[in-house]
Amino acid sequence: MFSNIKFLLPFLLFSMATFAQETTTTEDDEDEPHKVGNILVGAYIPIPFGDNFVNKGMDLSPGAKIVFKVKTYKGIYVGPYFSFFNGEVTDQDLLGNYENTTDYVIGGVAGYDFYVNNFDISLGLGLGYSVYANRGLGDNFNDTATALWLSPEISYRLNTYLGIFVAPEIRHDFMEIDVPKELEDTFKGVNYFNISFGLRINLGSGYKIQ
Amino acid sequence: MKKNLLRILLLFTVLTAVGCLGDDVDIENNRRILVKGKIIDPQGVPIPNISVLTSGFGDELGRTSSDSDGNFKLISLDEQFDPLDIFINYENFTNTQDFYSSLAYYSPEHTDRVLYDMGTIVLGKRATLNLILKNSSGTEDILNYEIKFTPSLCELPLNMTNPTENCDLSQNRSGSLSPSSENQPFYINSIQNSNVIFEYSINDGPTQTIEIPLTNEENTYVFEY
Repeated sequence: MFSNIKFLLPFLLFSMATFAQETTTTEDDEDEPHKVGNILVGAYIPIPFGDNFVNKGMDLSPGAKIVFKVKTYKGIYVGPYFSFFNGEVTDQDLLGNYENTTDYVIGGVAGYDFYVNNFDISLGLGLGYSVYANRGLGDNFNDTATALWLSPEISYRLNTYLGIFVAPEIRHDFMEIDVPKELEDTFKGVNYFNISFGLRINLGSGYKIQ
Repeated sequence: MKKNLLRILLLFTVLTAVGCLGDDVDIENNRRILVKGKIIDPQGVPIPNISVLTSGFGDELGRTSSDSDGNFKLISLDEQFDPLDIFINYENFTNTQDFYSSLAYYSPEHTDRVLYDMGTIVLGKRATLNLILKNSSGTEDILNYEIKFTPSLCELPLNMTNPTENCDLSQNRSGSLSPSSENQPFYINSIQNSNVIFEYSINDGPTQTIEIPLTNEENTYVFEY
């Protein structure tokens, strides 16, 4: 898992730096009345890392995410965010006697959007409420958290209204689980390097292919 | 169409009701408790593979086993309303092949406590005593007796304030035997290298005490009067 991140992270940074350099040569259209915003719908691959209960005691499977971004002023966008993924408990000694979980995040994102040729690039920050809906022992119970994430995103315009995107996401869940002090390192926070990809639906006629 | 809708509604109601009936455990949200300790035998030797489990009113909330050094660290869920109970080597209690004694810690009420440091827990080897009270004289004597012993299943309060509390000689059986009660046997589950205290009096005479050491796994003692 870590080896994947090792390769991916430098690649993404390099890609971002390359695009950032190109923007200096791109005409920056400050006011685009035909750009309303966009909707991202896609797969969401959770990759936990570090010393925490999710990384040590769960086997996660992909979920999905949907983001609705509305353009506000210049390249600034805001909007609601929803994602989910599933997980199987693999170490009940560490997590407790339950079988599986589904994590839901409902929140909001804000960021900056710009484009280079047919690539739309954005860097967003998100804040949300994360619920791990756990099932086991014939009962459901929740672990909750405040989720904070940083997500760069690159999308490619297929036509005016449709594109494809890939968005890595660094996320931290500030868990609200009540545990003794010696378990706080494991239960008080979860780190993720998530990847999402899918379709981007552009709203407005301002996303024309260059 | 209306009939079908009613049927579906009825089925949904029944299924929901059945689902609610089966849901007898209420796990506390956002909580994990830690139960830790070390299990040794009376000689101080760590005992591995001893099961430790937590339970809320009969529902298992967490489970682990002691490691090769006798240490255990159990991260468990917690019940929302029911008090927490902790069982050491409990599930093997009915297994007569199991060597070691069992411990059950019962909470009197639900608490928000998240750490249970059980310290060092000593499990003795199990022993049985077959005690036979035999009226061999054939007289009309009445025997009053009390048998005190350390049980192989020790039950203690979980939130005990006195950490030295234990189950030594905590169980007893008493009664009286009439002349017609011949060869009265008692089968006692206790701990090896402990003593069973047998106190008796004949015809309300002075009380006599006999200490019966349990040196073997299976012991027999015949008391004749």
